[in-house]
Amino acid sequence: MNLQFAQLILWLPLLGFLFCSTSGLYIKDRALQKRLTTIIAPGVVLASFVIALLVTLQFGSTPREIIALIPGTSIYDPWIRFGGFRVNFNEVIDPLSLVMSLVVTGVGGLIHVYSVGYMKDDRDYTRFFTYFNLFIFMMLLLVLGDNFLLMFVGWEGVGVCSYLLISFWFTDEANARAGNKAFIVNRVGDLGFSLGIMSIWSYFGTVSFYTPQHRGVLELANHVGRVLDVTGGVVPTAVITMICLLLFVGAVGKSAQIPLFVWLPDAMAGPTPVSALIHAATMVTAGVVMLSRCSFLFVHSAVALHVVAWVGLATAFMAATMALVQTDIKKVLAYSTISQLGYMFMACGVGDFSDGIFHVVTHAFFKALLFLGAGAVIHSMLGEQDMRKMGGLKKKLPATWAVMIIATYSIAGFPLLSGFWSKDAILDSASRSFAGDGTLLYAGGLITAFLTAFYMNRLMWKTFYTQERFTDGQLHTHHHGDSDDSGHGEDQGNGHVHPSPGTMMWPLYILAILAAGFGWFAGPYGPSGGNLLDKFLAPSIAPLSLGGLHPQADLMSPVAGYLLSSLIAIAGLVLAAVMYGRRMESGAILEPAAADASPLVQFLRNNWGFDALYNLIFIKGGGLLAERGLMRGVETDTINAAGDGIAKSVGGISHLLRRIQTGYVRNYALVMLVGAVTLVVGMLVGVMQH
Amino acid sequence: MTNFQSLNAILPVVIIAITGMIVLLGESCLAFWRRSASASGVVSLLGVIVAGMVVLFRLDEPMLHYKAFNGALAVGPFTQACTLILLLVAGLSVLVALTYLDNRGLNQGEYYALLLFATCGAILMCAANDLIVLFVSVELLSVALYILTGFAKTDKKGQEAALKYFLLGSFAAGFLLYGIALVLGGTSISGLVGTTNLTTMTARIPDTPSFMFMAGLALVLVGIGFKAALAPFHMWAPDVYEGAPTSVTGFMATAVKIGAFAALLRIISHLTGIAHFWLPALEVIAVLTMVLGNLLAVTQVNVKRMLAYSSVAHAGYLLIAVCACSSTVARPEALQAGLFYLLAYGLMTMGAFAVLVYLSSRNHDCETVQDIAGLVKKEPLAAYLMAVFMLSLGGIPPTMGFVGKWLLFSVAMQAHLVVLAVTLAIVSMVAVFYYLRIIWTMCFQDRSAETVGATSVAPTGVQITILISAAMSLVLGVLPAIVYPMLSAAQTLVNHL
Repeated sequence: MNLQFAQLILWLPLLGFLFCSTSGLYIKDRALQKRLTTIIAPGVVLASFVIALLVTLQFGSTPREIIALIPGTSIYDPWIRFGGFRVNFNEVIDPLSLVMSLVVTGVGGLIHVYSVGYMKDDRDYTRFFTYFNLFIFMMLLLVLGDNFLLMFVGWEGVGVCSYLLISFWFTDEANARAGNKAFIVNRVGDLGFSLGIMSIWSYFGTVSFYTPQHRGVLELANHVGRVLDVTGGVVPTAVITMICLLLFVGAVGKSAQIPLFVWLPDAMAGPTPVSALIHAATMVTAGVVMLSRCSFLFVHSAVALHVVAWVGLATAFMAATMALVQTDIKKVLAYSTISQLGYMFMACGVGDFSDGIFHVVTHAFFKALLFLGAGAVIHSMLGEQDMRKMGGLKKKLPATWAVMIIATYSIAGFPLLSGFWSKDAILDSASRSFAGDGTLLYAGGLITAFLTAFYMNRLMWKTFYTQERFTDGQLHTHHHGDSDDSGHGEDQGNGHVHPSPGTMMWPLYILAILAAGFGWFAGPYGPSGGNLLDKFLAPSIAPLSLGGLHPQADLMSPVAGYLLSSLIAIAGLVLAAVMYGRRMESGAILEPAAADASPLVQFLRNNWGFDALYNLIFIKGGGLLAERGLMRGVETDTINAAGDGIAKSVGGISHLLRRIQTGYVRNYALVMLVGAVTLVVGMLVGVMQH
Repeated sequence: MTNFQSLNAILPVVIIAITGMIVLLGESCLAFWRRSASASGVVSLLGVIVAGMVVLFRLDEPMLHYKAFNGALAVGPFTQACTLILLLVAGLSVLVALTYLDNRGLNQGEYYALLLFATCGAILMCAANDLIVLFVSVELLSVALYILTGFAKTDKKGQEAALKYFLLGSFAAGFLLYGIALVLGGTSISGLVGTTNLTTMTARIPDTPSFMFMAGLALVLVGIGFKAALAPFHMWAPDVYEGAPTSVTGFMATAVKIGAFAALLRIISHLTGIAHFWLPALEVIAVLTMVLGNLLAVTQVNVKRMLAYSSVAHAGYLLIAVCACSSTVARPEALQAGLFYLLAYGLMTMGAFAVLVYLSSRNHDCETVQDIAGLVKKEPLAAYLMAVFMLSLGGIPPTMGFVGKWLLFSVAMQAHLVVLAVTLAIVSMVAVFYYLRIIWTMCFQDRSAETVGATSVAPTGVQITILISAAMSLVLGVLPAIVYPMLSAAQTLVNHL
């Protein structure tokens, strides 16, 4: 197979998007349009996956290949050039981009198939897949682009798709607000990212990752102890730290870390497949991908790495505590996602980027599975997301229960499941942190792991085991029947769940297998000598030694580590089982009134006060500033007045000038003559002056 | 080059001319040809396509680095690039005419013959390396266009427009011819006979040119400026554009401008040695053209007339590329930018006029703003594509118009023409107003009773034109690099002069 085929990985989803977005214009038969969408939208993503797989099998062992994506350019000829600024539209095929392409198209393809069933009665079926295909394209651009600018295009593109899909059911104002919140909070991060890219351009003189002349940013940073710019000068460490921190601000926004995590819980307003694909499996991990891509820069700045590690740990812990008190099933998963992303950042922060990616992959499997399972639960409950009104669903949804229990045990770190291996790899690296704070990081990670096991089993007990807290009328057990007409909102879904069609269940089974077994496959005891993913990713990831940093000695033997984390996970699971097992009837440890009165519960429910703080500073304070200061003084009196004035005067001049255009040939000829005479005289005067 | 080699070198022109004659003969001698509604059009289209193929297949032929007919015609890559753009425009015009003539019951073969002859004239304008040849090709183009403008023989507005165009065109031709005579005189120094050949002329110009030569150059500029609709020689444009049949307007707005600017770029590139003598004059004309064109377009309610003023404004933008040729550093990029903008301008203008043709019916030309109010509800695709053309004309990404305008900005700055760059920025803002107003009218105004729909008898031709123009405007807006190789070949060749 020719390497040029790798172009198709990127272009196929774009074709799907173009079809979905324009088909309404030329296909008048709505049923036909829907049938074609059903085939094309998931088809292009799965085809993309197959190509990515073939490319991986054939080219996976080469360190990197670059191919030009734009006709008329080559890997040498730039796509954009002005002055010394040159940007190529190239795709980089290397282990990191291949792993991410496989995850994005693989998990993305499965969720597309699931959505065919999930969204089939929605009025805006094709619009949904339009955004979904566009999202896949943008995400692939993000992971495959060979320079910071393309990555940024993909970065912003997935942000737009996320916004569009969170507020997919836009007739409900809460959804529209959630979309706005996600978009605006992300702007803060994007500002940091774009400043980072600008700094890279001004200090390095290029924004490419790799170039054929080996003058890309990552290649320039690939020297022990120093970073060069394109002219051969040395970039100071302080500058590297600044650049890394700016890039990290971008990652914090997109990957919902402290202090910008507040948008992700609200993002659950979108359809559940959106939460699974965008807000769990792929987009939110973009920050981790970006850090890993820039690992060559980060290893040169111990300060930046340290910040990443501690922000990651703090996020992991805080989000886990917030997850303890959520009553909305999707919100639990949202906080859990934030917490798991914290783990990945911690891995990057201690220089173990490949295990960060390992956790990205396993998390994509089990978290997508959890969300899709939760989607099935929500539908069977006629749109009810409150776990206080669930319970006893194990009997009614046995298949859903089965896949969700695998995912729960996997994320909790139950021995030998996927989450166990990736989380343990992160904890192990954290314990050997180069900065000497390994014990603290390890302890924090362990506590968070315990909380994770607890809140996940709490979710399972509240939903599946405890006694039913609803009447039969609230449960949708028939299929395809008494549907209210296709409208907006999950609450109007009808019977796609119980029993769910094959298109919805098969993706779950495949994900369940991966959530259980992938960790073993890629982990230390996997086939062909173990640590498959680590070895595969090695060419894309910088070793810590590049920056002169060295991990500390082991805190304990590997076996002791495995035992300890298994113990913690099982303890968390058991504690939840015991506590909720005693309260089968209410399904709650505290009575509602007691919970409302408890200051701790309130504190956790209010996100440790983050939302209130932002509300006060930005919404209230910013609102005041806008209304009192800027609106009257600047907007109305200055800008509007000036704008109106200019517009009026342009219109007035135009009216005046029209009078010259009389329509008489004699006048036109006169103007020409005057013009000609002026021109001749002007030119002659010019010559005379010399 | 022998005469045969020379003819071979301008084979595309020969093919177009012969096709034109075949159409004339077929129309007048063959009964089955006359009965068929589209025979002439289809044959013309074939001729254009064959000519285009010839150019494409011979892009790298070394023969083309020479001059044909004893230096009278330059047949290098610059000419080839211009020829391709012109053939594209001509082909699209034929497609538009297929629909328009049917609609208006004007189906006569001589329309296509005239269109092809005009195309020959425009191509020769791009190739002319001698001012006399330039004059002949300008007239070849103009005479055909005078007739085409008045092609609707019963339409009084069209007749008036044709007469105005003819009278003022003759006036301008006088300036051009007189200017050529003065140049001939001005280049006869130290006992040598004067010349109108550009290559010879360059060698003859002293550091400070003679009065006679400069006066001649000024008058030549007036003649070409009239064709390109530069202020203050633009006043014919709105009346003629409005009065001519819409399909002719589309061709006139694009082909004439391409020919005139190619000629201007070639002449000016030969005069970089005395740039500081002509540059101030051209800068004044450029500013005047940009400002007048845009300001007057603001208050127009007739879309064709608005597009006429917009074409004046675009002539001003293109003049920036010509001015930038004054700097030897910026000249290669300036030529590239100029050619790119000509292609962009040709596509988006042709597309806009094609949409108007598509919406015209037998007894009603779609012309005014009321005609397109609320169009998006009735003809969504046509409205969207019109929006693409308007955005492209306004220079909004991701369209070709944006890339073109950006290239113009960058060459203006490279050549240190700050005043022009600033003017371009300011008038672009004004321009966005009247382009967006069209989109606003189509999308947000209520449909009036007069809103037209597609009632064309045979809309296929014009539909193809609209789709090709829109697709190219968008694709080349994102991937301009596709045409860069062709354009950069053109700039290197002008260096060989």
